[in-house]
Amino acid sequence: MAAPATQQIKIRCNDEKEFTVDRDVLERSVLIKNMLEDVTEQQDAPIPLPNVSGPVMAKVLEYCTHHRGEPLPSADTEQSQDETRKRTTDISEWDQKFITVDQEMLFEIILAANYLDIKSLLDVGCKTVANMIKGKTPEEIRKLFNIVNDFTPEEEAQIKKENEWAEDR
Amino acid sequence: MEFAAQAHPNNDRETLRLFFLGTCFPTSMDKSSTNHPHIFYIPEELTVKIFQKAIPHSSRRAKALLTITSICRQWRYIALNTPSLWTEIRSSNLEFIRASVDRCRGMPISFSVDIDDRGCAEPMPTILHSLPQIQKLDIQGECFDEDDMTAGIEAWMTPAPILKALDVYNCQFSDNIFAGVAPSLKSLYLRGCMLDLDDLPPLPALKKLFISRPEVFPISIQSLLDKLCWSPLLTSLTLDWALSHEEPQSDIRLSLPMLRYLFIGSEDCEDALLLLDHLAIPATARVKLSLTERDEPDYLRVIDALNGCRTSDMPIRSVRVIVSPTKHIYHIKERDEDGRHASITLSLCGSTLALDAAESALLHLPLDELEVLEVDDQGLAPRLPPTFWYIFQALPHLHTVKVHNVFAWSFLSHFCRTHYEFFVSAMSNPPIRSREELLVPLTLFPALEVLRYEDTQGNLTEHLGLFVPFLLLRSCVLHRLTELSVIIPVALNEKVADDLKSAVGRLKLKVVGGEDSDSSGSDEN
Repeated sequence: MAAPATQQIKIRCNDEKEFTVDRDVLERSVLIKNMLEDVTEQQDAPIPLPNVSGPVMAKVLEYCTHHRGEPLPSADTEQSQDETRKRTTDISEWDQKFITVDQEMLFEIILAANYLDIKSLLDVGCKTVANMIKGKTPEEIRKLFNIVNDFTPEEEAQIKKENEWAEDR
Repeated sequence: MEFAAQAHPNNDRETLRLFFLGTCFPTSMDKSSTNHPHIFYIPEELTVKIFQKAIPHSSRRAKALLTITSICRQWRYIALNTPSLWTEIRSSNLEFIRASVDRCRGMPISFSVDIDDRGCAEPMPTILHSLPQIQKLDIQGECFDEDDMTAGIEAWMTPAPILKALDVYNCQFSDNIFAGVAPSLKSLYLRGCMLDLDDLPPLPALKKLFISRPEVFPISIQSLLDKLCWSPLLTSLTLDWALSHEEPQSDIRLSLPMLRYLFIGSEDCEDALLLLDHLAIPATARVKLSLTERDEPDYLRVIDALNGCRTSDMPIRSVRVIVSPTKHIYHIKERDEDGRHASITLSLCGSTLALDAAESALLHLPLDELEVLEVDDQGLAPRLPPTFWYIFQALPHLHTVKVHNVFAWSFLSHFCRTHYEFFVSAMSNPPIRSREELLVPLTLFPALEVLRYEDTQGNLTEHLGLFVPFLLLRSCVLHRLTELSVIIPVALNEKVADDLKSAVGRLKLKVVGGEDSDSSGSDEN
């Protein structure tokens, strides 16, 4: 006997790009999962996602497809504080390759994951940015993210003084 | 309240100044400004999330935090307005500590401070004045000088209503340091401290107590019992070189019904025995003794005392006897998953005396429902006495016996069981020199149905070749064998693998060998 066909769901991005995706893949997004649960009758109209563009959604779907079937993180499965601390910036090999994108796409993915409520993807994105920051000097961080140093000379002096606090350790 | 004014400032001048300077934060993607950094597109709560992951929980935390505040106004504003970033203080710098306490805005703080001769105890008054706000305090240091210590003692009188964990290492304190500590303290570590246990107030919430090498006052067992009677929730007790020789005045046994772990390290076996005589702990508590006296302790007395302090004896489902080269006595009892049975591990040094003690201890345990026996002498011990095995022969439920030394096999033959697991140890003593030495004992088990051949270190495979598993299969005496597992550290070459497969016949065969080899027989599950 053939396995029951997985329900296909249509979504439409803000650039009118449409995707037809297996329901279990889309349900990695808590936002979409809740929307689907609220709709009792099957609808053919695509679900509008006004805050996500087609190229970003394609990346998000790549992530969701790879991680389909994995248990969704919930309050019950929260790791202990110590475990969480140990792994704050650990990223699996596949996720690392997946998230190796330019900065614009990286932050678009983070925003999309936040909007769609995909906790694990949001974590991967934030960890990636955190890893980019770790161990760098302020000047290196500014250069990396194209941030302008907008402190006044007085503020600079205050910051310099504060940074001396970390010198004796 | 002076402290409250510090901890809950009505305004943070730095924050307000940044705010009124007009630092603006985007709330949505606006790509019209091409020069705007992409990282500024994300909302503030996500920036905070990134900061939290970028700042390590180590001594580099202060530096990482200060770096974040040095990038630009926007990041500085966010960092200064996120109290949770400042609640974990790992620094001895007074200015940083003060700033962090301010920026915490009254949230519970964890302090980890290393006080050495250079910094002396300068930050201590600030830290101690923050006691009402501290939930975890970890102080490591060389010493406090007299003046600082006096100041510190006064400050310690401040109530510490939310302090849950206190860890003091190598600091000299005097009377009353604990006056403000008590109601919520769950974990107390005192290592290398000058302390008198009598100064401790009752600690009703205490779950973990760790005392090692107190500098001045070794702890009398009576004082310890007097204190612990106020801590009925205690789950873990470690006393490392902490006991004095004084005999307790009373014969009362203190019940610690929640205790799951007890460690006693002592130079004198008698101290440990005295304490055990006065404790009543759950049958499933893990108990470890580390006895460092030169002469071998009286193992029999020690194990009797270990068994005697248990409040009840659950039927034991599995026994593991380990003979180790150290003088530690591990006597670990754990509750099985079903909650009705226990598993016990005895770890002893390899002397005949110790093994006799193990045998005697086992005789006193409720083994009627024993199912699994494992004996691992790691090749260091003389063979276990034959009488050791007699204990297990008549046990009706025993179905699995695991041995690590092939010389014990001959004793097993009396059991007439059908399921054995032989772990062939690299440390076999004396070493196995021929295939016959390995195979002949198998002829003693004509009814054997399941056999596991495990040589994970590869010593046997190295000496006797890869054909040992093959010979096991060909051994016609094992005609009732239905399952054979062979675990070796090298991959089988094709010919050997083919030979094995052809010899499998009706057998379920599992071969695991080498790093990238996981070949299976025809009938593997």
